Amino acid sequence: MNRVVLFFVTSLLALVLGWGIGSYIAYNKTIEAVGKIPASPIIVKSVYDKSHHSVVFSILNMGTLPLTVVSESFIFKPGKESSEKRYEMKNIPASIPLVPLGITTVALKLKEGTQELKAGDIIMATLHYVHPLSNDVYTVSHKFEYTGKPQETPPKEVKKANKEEK
Amino acid sequence: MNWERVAWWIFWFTFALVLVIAFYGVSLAILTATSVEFAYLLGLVSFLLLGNRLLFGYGWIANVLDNVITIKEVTLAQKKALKERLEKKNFEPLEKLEELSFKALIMLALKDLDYYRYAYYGIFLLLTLLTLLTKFNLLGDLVIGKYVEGVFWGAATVTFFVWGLEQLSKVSFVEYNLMDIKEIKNQ
Repeated sequence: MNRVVLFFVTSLLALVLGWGIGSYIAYNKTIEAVGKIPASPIIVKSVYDKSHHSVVFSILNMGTLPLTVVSESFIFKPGKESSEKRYEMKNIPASIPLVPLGITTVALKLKEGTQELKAGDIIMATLHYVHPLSNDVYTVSHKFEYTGKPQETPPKEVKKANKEEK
Repeated sequence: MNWERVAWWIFWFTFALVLVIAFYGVSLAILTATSVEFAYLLGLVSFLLLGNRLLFGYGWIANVLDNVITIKEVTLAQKKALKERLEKKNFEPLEKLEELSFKALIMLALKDLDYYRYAYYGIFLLLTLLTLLTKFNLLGDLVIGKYVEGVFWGAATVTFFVWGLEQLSKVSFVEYNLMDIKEIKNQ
């Protein structure tokens, strides 16, 4: 190796080093800034679970902070084929953490003793959740209409509201 | 009017100003650093301490060889300075140094730095392995992973200079050997 070769090798190494340090600091600053943006959860899929008589929601949390579902409410509206009456259930307590940047499945247990869903039945569900950076309670509403067509099997790892577990 | 005196005064004033500005900049960088940048500074400072001997050792050798190559001869003053350095810093006995040529003295100085070089690169290698382990989550979910990486980048900055000065002094030594430079014998 002579001085010219050493000069070029050193310059290349310096470029790589500067690139690495710069992207390391920039990446961590960006992650920190993005992490402070509050995200609202989105219900990407809902499935009726016949054996447990519950509706299973797949909730996507797009933010980098965990959200917590504190309670659930829903309204049942019967369709034409159902002989069940319209009923409401309010503020079922829950404590379900929604994992950041991932999908959490949450089960909403329907009223016990009621008959299973028929095609055309509608569940209007409302989830109340809190954000770690704020004291407010936010809601997300979701309309689920049961079509009666064969559905995908609900996932096994399902989180339920506290009341239903006991 | 003594112009030389004035020039020296201007020099010292500028030097002091540069020092003050540098100190201000460094303290501002430390005070306003985010946690990630602080990890980088931590790695930088600790590896500067660890590689201090190597940085100054190789830098000094490269500087001496550069002077010798430029004026194309080994002066007595240069040889004397090299001997003094070997005696004071590396604890080589002076009787052993008296009979050695300039080439042998440089080889001795390079050899003495090898212990520090192995220790330095060994510790840097361990830090690199630890960083890779945390990067690929092989140690489980480590929250301190990003800070380990910051320390690694600070250490890599110092290692770049250590490596560069080491290569420069060795390249200079090869160049000196190829040039066949006359050496003034001891009187």
